[in-house]
Amino acid sequence: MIFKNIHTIILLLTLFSLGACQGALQVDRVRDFKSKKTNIQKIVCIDPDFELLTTTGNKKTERRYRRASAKEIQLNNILVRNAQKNNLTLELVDTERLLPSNVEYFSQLAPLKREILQVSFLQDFVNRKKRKNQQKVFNRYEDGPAIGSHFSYLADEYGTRYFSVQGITTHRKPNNKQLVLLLTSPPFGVANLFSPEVDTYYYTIIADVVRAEIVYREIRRVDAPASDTNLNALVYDSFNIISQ
Amino acid sequence: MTALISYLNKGRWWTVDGGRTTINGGRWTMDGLLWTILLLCFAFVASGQTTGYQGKRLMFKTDLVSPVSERGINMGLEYVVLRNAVLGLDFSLTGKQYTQRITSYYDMYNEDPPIAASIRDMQVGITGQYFLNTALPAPKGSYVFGKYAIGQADIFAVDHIMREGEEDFLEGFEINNISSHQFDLGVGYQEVFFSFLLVDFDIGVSVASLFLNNNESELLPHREVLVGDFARKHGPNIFSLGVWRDTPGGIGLSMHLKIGILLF
Repeated sequence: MIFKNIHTIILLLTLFSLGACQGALQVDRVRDFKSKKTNIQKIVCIDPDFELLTTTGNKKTERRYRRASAKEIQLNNILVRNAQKNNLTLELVDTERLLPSNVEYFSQLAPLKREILQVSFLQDFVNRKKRKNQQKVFNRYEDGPAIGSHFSYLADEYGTRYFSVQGITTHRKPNNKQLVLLLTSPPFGVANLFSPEVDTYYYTIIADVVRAEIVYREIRRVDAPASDTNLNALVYDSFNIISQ
Repeated sequence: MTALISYLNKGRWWTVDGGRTTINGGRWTMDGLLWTILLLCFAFVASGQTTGYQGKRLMFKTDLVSPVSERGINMGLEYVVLRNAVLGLDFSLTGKQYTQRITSYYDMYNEDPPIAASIRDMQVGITGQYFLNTALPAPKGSYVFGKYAIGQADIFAVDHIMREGEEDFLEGFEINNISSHQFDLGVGYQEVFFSFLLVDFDIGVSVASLFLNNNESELLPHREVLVGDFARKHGPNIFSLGVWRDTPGGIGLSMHLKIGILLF
């Protein structure tokens, strides 16, 4: 029976291997971070970043990195629009639109953003019980990485205790043309031949300045360019998780 | 749902017992099974972090390949039930025509009969899609899918009649209300444009079966062979690799290019 249908089995295996388009998502949050409990209504987003990273394959200029200001405006609009769709108010502070009189950004929010990024890089979420950190897609912890308590005054100033750092990094890589894909499945192969090899990373880190800790952290990777439809899907889903 | 239940009644592994359709020796009723599936879907919806595309979860899609390859239509409604899973109801109507190879006719005239045989098949089915990219929620991205469809088919074919002392002729015959089943398994990719337009491409293995024996009218054994000969191409819409088991119906490769809209 197996040998009679061996061609079908081979065909199925080929098809499933072709379908292995991958992405990744990891969400770490403290146990109390739930909008129904904490009633999150407003988040202050500190200067979202849109960064372009290019790996050329050339040894002299192996990596190129630059900030995309034009894309940042596009990202800002997507963030605000999708937050609204999830009944969240996102107050976006963008350095591109700052006036010379807005000095408080550099004295208040810029240090907070730096602190959030450093702490998120250096510390992990922890459970009180000495269990190993979970490695699932969605993880809940007792405590988040601790930030300085001297930022708590910002809660009164901005009318919310939640401040976020969000951004997109796209990584353009040399295109590895897959000849096997072209031979075994021409439609997928042709698409692969003409599409650039790009990974898009989207991250969100939310800090609670009153509790002085990072309460939510999310990182996503999709092997697709940062098009409007992709960003809308990513950002809406992100705010949907936050607002649940 | 009513249409689905009426089609399910034509199956093989369940029986009609005093007006009630029962499965597994009468322990489950068919209605009970369908309600269980439906309730399980709602339970999944309630428990999962279902997003859809910007909150939109209901889709209507129609296939562009089917009118060309199968002279039919294929359309369906799909709903995002879980973060990465979509369930759907599918309707297809095909009217494919086949060139019959009748050995006696070919030996005599060195050509195939000029009248084409045809299988007209109407099916309803359930589809399930699992989207592989965890970072991008359904209905966007690449997915694996399975589809099970059941329906009714009508077959038209010709038979070469030769009688001693008479001129040979071709006689057409029909077999109606045949129970048909089809199972598809494969991979696909779906893209969303302008936040509402869907383009879905999938490719997979199709297995089809036509249960001639369930038909009420008597079928001559050699006509069963005649039907089985061209019915091996029935099912897959691109190419057939051969016959699946001993029942007429083919196994092979199918491809669909669907366009649709995200309703709400």
